[in-house]
Amino acid sequence: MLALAAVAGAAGLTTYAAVVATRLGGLLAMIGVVGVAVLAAALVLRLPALVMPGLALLGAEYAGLFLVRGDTLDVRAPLYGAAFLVVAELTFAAIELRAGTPEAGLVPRRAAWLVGAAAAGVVVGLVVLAAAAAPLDGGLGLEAVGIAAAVVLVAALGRAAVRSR
Amino acid sequence: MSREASPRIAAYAALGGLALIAALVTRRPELAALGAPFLLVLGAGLLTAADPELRASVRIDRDRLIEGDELTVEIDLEAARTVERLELLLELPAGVVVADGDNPAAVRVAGARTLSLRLRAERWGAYSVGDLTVRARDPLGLFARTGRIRSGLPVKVYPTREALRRLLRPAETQLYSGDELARTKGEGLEFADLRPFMFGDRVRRINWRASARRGELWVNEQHPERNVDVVLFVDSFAEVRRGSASTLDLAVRAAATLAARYTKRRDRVGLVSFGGYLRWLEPGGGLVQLYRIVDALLDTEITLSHAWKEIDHVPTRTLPPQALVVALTPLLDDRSIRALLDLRARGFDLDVIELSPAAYVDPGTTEAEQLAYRIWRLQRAALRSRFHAAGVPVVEWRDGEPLARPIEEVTAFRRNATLSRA
Repeated sequence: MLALAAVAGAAGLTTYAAVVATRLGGLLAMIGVVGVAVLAAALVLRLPALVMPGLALLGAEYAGLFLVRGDTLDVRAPLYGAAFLVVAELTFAAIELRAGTPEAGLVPRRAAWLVGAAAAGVVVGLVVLAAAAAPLDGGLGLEAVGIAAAVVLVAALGRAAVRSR
Repeated sequence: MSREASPRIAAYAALGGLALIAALVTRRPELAALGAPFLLVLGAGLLTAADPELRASVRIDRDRLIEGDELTVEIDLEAARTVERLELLLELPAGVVVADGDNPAAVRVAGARTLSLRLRAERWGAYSVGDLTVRARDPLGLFARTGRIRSGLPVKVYPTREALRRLLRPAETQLYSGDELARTKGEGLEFADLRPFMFGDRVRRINWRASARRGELWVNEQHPERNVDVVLFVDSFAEVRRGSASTLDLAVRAAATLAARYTKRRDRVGLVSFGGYLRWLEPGGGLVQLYRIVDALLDTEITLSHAWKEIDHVPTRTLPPQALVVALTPLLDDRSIRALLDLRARGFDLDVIELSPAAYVDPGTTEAEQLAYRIWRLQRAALRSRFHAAGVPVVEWRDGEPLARPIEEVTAFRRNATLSRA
């Protein structure tokens, strides 16, 4: 069930990017279909290592959308990001071995956590878009600060992840 | 508890990082919005992934059962921090199954709580119950902490006892008083014979009716009630098994039944477990001896060993003189067959209850298989004839039949057969 939902969600994301694209929709769809196939293979073979490439291909399809759309801002990006997270969560939930019959209330609580995380992702995405739309003068300095912030954020998360093992 | 990280940590970190870098390179804030939820989940997961300091203990409501009985296992859980999903697996030995409840189970633990599980003992044996494997997952599922709690609570499952109306009577009784009518004459209740009065006879033993008829004093003679020594010989060299039933199960059930019945009559009962290792309990009486025997039976198992390859008789001191030896054997191993014939040759009063392996053997479908099966049955019949010729009753007992049937058959054999001392 979880696996089917994950594949259906991934197919929905692929369709969205292909339909919204003004041109090269077929090429984008092809990338997305490969991503869905890799995700499906990960689910069938129960290989978590394949999940990341599958999701990356879906992300690449979405990134390709901006190459063909030009400067138009996609305001649905936070929703797409939340849906992307839900697909990833469903895929991992389907693959990870979970023992035991869950007692009543456990599955709804887990679903609530997931919905909460997705909603928070939407909020953060909106904040990111709002920050990007702020009338700030760009420049090398600001861009350097942005790069540094991104690097520091990723490094901090990576370090925390490594230390937590 | 050991901690393991979910593969989603690496995946989310990589996706989030790639999205941020792609956003910077392509100057598209949408890509940053795409990666933001992953980084958010990762950050929240890392912040909330604390040790729940889980403590667990296992209790059982009883430690002695009879096959088919149920016991309740209570698992007490206490966590300093809420565990959103705790997976528990109570490790069960073969022979014990879950009667009610989930195993494995997944629960939420906030503070302290107790889980209950009903177990049913399906097979006799000495078990250890209570070893628990737990896995605590954090709310976002990024980390799992796995631990093993070893409680090792001993549980003894005794075999079910068969209903018996009467027991095997030995050829000889012992000196102490009991419930078995001795073949000899002496002080007792059961009338045995009449004889002329002798000097020293008590007046109350005079049979006045017989004395009046004969014109001289005659006295009654009685059979005294004595106890008997019974040695249960359990052959654990080999067994035949099909599914959960086996000849060893029959042996243990019969031995437990006979031990309980004989000790209840104040007889002395001993045990010889003749298999990979020779073990014995010298005959004794009372409830303590019964528990000793049953506990020894619970440890009985088929042990493949060639240590006894050259020894085909039971050491002398393990069997008291004039004891009734009841052998519970599938008659499959030559060593136990030779040992039994040796006992008979030494003059022991021997009865063999053959735990029939035929019920567990498939005759086969091809002509050759069926021929082999028939030859095997003939060989077994010939073996039984050897025992019969030595004056030893051999009676087949099949799974599903009451034990009373072979007991009655042995009794009938002993009543009719002429004992031949080998």
